[in-house]
Amino acid sequence: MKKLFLGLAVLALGSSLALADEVAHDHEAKHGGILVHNGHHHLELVAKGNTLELFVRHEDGKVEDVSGAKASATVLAGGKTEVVTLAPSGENGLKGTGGFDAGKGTTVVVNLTMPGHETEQIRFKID
Amino acid sequence: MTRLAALLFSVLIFAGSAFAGPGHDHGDGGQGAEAPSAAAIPRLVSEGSDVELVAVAKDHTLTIYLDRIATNEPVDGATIELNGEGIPSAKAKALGDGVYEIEADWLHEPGANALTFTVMAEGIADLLAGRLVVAEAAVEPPAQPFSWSSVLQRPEFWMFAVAIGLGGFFLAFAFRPLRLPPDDTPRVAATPEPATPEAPLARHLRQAAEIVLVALVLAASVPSRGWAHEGHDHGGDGAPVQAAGNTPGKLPTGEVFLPKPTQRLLKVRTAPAATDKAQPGSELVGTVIVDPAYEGRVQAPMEGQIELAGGGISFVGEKVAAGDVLALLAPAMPVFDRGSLQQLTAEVEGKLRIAEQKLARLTRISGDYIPQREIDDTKTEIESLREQKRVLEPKAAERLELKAPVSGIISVANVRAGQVVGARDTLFEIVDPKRLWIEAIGMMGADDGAVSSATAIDGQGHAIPLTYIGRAPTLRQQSLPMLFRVEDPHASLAIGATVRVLVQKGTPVEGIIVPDGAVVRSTNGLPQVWIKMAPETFEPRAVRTSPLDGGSVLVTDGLAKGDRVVVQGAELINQIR
Repeated sequence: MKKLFLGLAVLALGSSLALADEVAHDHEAKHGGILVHNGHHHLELVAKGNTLELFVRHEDGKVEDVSGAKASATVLAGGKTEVVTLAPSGENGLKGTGGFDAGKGTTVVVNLTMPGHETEQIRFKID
Repeated sequence: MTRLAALLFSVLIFAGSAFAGPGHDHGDGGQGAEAPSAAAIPRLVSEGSDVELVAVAKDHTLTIYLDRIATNEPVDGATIELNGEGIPSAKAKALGDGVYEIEADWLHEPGANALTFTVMAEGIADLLAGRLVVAEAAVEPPAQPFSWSSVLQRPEFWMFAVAIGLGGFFLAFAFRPLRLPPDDTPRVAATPEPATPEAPLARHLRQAAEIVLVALVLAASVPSRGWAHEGHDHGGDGAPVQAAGNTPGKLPTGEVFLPKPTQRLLKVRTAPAATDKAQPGSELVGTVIVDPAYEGRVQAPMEGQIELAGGGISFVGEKVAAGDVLALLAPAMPVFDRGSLQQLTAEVEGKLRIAEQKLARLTRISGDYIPQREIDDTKTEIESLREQKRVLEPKAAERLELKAPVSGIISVANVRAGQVVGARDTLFEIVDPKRLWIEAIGMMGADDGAVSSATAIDGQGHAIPLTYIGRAPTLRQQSLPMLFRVEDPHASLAIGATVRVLVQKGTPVEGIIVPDGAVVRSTNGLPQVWIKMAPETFEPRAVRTSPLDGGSVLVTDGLAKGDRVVVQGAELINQIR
């Protein structure tokens, strides 16, 4: 009986350590973009030229399924605003293109609606 | 024993019925009051890179307050464009003072709206996002506080009713009419007799009645909040403090919620804290004196009578130049002096007459009988005597001119025409109010070499820069007086006035320099500053300060770099309760 408890305790400790390790690892941008923590999500925005790509992860590091998500981005670049619709692309990515040219000072506000959730608003500023 | 038990039991019944109420009653009331206040005013707060935005919805209007993040200055002349899903995009109308307005018909539909604001102003281009939650159309439960049906559903009502019923039963039983004795007369006769034994049943009942009465009195005297809560509930008690709304107030955390309209009224401004090095200052008490080189005094050199100078008599406040005649002094001559002067005059006049006669006699004789030397001598003698006479003659009517020794303004004039003054009397004092010094007392020690800068603060709070001149080696009032020159005298600086002198000396200390007005006193007397945490939230922060100069204070502890310190309006935020 005692041995069983001990074994369980070790198991619990080990799994919690493993979990902690996983959480600790995921505070960096995986795609070289800007990372923003919002609610339970880690969102990363990669802006290159006229393309925006948004990657959504859960805060524990797991990728989120965004195939059912709706997203639009308002882009302020060079004194002009433009609304871009982002469509699911890839595992946890949403992608959209527009007539803007992203660069330093570009501000992007993404409205992301995950299926069954309220709209999230995330603000990115490219420095 | 049974009596005591019965008493306790009764008290418990009455008091218990009273106590049962408060717990439930109170909680319900609090929640009921919370709901409408939180939902009353939909509010959106958003911070961008340079600007912050607060949008408040009222009826069908969205009022937007736009301010700079760092300074809290309202941003005027911006164009704000509103976008949102299912919302017609709209441009805001500027109302001035950083306030904008958007007519929004969608505000009456409940739900959460994700809004995006595009803000364009001079040097600012920003996107701000926020959610505006419009609550369900305010279906406030009207007049919920009290209704009979709700009372009937409560268990405590029934407990109370049962308790009252029991009490009533006891009372009725105790005071029930006793059987009348068959005959009246023996009873009347019997009453004065105290020792008359009562019927055992009647005595028992009387005891029961006493118990119930005592119990009632006790139950009524038990201090119970429950009774007050039976009829009405205290709606406001449990309500949270200003979760929303437009009323400034203190939050339970000690922070202050200050809505933007109030911030505009109080002209609240902030400045980001930046670390700096400065020498700590110490405060001394100083007195304004005049630069000794520019202070003049006119004294009477001898006894005499004051007479008017050409331009009348000089008065306090008159501007004079060095050499100006302030008054005339007619020296008074003692009787003895006057006599000897007259005697001398007569003597000189006599001698002169003799010499003139001699010269006339000598010149009348012609030929070389008279030596030329004698004639010349006589002429010289006459000239000498004439000179003596000339000197003696005007003595009686002579006036001394009293002249200003320095340029400046007359500060003291103790003189009237005709006044008789003694020698050494001070008649006028002249100072130059542009040349002021300050003598400060209060600093111990002798290391005067390190005084880097000094400032005087006058009664009106003007900061006046000073230059250190030196310090006296002699103790005065247990400290060594220090002298400072006032570089640019303020008009309010009066000679003799007491001023605060802030002296900076010693090794520089790292800290954050904030304006004097930013540091206020907390209710417990500690110095504190207010930090802007969110567009409408301010937090007090206790700090350690050290005086610098009149206008600023060095915060050595309690502030972090980048904190947005309230530099204007802190005193007013401090008053919010």
